[in-house]
Amino acid sequence: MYLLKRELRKVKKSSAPTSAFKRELWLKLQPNAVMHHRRLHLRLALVPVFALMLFLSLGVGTYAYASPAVSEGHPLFKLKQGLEKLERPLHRSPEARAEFEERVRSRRRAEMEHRLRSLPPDIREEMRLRFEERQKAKAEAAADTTTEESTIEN
Amino acid sequence: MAEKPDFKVFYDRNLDRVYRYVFFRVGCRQEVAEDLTSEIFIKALKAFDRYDPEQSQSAWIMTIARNTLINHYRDRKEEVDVDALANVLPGVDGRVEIERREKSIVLERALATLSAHERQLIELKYLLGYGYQEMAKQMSKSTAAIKMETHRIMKKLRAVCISLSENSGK
Repeated sequence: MYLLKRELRKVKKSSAPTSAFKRELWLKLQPNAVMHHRRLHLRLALVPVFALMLFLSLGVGTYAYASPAVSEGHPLFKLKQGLEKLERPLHRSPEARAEFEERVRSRRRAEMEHRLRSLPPDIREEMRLRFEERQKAKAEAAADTTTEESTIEN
Repeated sequence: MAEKPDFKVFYDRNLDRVYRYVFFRVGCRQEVAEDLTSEIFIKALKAFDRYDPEQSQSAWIMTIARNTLINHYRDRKEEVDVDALANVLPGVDGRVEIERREKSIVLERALATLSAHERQLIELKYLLGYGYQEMAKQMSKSTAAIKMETHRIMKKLRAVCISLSENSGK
């Protein structure tokens, strides 16, 4: 009787690598394998760190841009101004630009309101008047520039 | 989802299989098989980032093994069909027992009567230790179909072995 499976098992057994070879090869591979393992872990750890950094920077940017608490003297005010500077050229038509400038002005107004809340009422009123005057002057100057630009374009 | 194993786990899981695959294709020369297996695993470690256990458990390293063998024969300027070498069994060299030698020759001859595809199935299942499921995935067939086919080939191989051993006994 021919025991085929047994013969195949014998062949399989006789063609196995020796344990000495297995050990030696692993010793050769191990330093690189450990390095690879560490690199992989580091890479995996960097993903959430970058995600967190991106999230925070986006969050800080949004906060700086939108919050009236970020006004002149605040450490993020420069960032707010930078973002506004970046946004300004995106509004090409005079109408859009005027709308944007109006938005910036109302933002400044909101910042001022926010700052005034911490002052005594009499000073608050005086400051508000001064601010309104300054804003009015600015708006007039901006209107003049827009008119000049549209005249040149025509 | 299959989790990517540690390289040590991957090494332990595939070493025997890769070694045997190479061993049968280098005329069962232990030294050559060891050198090539080392080369294959060094390459695998370097490219381990690209290993995706979702796609294949061992097909990835077997492809590296196959390419390494092709390069090996190309460097030696030998034209060898790596896939057709699956019928080469451990040689009779160094076999002391005469009976064992005879049985090995019978098996070798019987395997030579099979088609390349049939030999491949026998090699995968009984020499490299693949499971039916893995074989089915590799050959893009159903597990039941592969199982049935392998049983049919085993039956055929057994019949050839019996006939050959009877003839040699006469």
